[in-house]
Amino acid sequence: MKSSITLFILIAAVPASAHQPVMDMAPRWAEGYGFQLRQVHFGSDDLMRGSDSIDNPLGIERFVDTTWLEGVYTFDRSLRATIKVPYINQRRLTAINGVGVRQQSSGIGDVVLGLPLKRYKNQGATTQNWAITPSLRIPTGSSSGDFPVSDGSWDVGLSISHSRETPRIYQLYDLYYWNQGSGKRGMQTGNSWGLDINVGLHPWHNNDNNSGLFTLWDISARHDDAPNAQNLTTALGGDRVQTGPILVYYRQNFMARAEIKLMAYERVDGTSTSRGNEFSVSFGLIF
Amino acid sequence: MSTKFIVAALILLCAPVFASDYIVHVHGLVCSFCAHGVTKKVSKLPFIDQSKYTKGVKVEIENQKLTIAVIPGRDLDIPALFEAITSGGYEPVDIWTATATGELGEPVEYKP
Repeated sequence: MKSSITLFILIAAVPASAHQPVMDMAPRWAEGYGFQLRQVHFGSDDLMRGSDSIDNPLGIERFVDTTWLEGVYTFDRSLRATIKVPYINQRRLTAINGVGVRQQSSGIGDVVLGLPLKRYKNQGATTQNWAITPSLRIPTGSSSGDFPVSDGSWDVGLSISHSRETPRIYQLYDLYYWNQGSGKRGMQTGNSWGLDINVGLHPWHNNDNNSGLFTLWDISARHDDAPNAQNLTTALGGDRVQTGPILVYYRQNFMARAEIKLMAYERVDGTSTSRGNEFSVSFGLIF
Repeated sequence: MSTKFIVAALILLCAPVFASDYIVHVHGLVCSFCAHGVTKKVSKLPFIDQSKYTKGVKVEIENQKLTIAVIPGRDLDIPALFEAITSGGYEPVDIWTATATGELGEPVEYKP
């Protein structure tokens, strides 16, 4: 039983946040730690059936703002532990019996624990690593109300990633899978997989004060199985490809990051709002 | 005549300070966060002169070069230095004395 639980954890996955300097790139030194505050906004009033936009006479919409407090500890460069605590503020206008009903909820969401296992290879002007990250999502969020912030399930995930960096160029490839457990009140978010590709340049670096910029381009592909009890959860089934720029500024142990993800392709299961474009900013410190 | 004498005297006075700087080539030292981690680990070593560079350490990511300042009169502990770099996440390759202009001087014999 114990081994089957372990296996289950290892075959499930975490939604990786691509190219997160504090969580992914640093700290890679033994006994290093860091914190990051990340604000993510997405949502839309674009109603879709399949991959087509359709009329939306009721003004159905959904918007979600999440503030993530994230922490990382590096035992040595091959083993880290991460924790991500979300605070969710979400609102929507949904159709109930043909009438538009406005709903809103907020609160601490589900905490995500991760255990990135990394193997580095440093060679001349190149550093690269392979990483396997098993993750566990704990149902710490409330699953009560008409529009809960959590489905109340224990979820497990696994990501496999590879990154390669030279003084001028950065590349990251990250493939992940989330296995969603059964939640409360019949809710169950659909299983999902995703692929993130980040490719970018490091156009400016000042050796004297260790400051500089990264400019990257992100491509994110996602597939989500349809959820149960879709009228309760924020989850959507379907496929999407988002893309957009990332800008990272760093100075010594501080970094700031901004990202825009524009929808390049989207298909929803049945009729649903589009997930919409996504904007995020984050600030991090490493010690 | 007196000016030449003063300049010569200054060069001689400065020479021991420059001789206490060393350059380490480090595989993979290519990113800013790399620089911060290595600086953090190396600057804690007791023989590092924190009054120079950034806490006694200068990183040049374009050529994977780590310059350290050693307190005049203190011995350089190469095993401890290499261990600190490894603990910072990278692989030290070789070590050289630094010239007055920060260029490579003479190689320092060390087999990790």
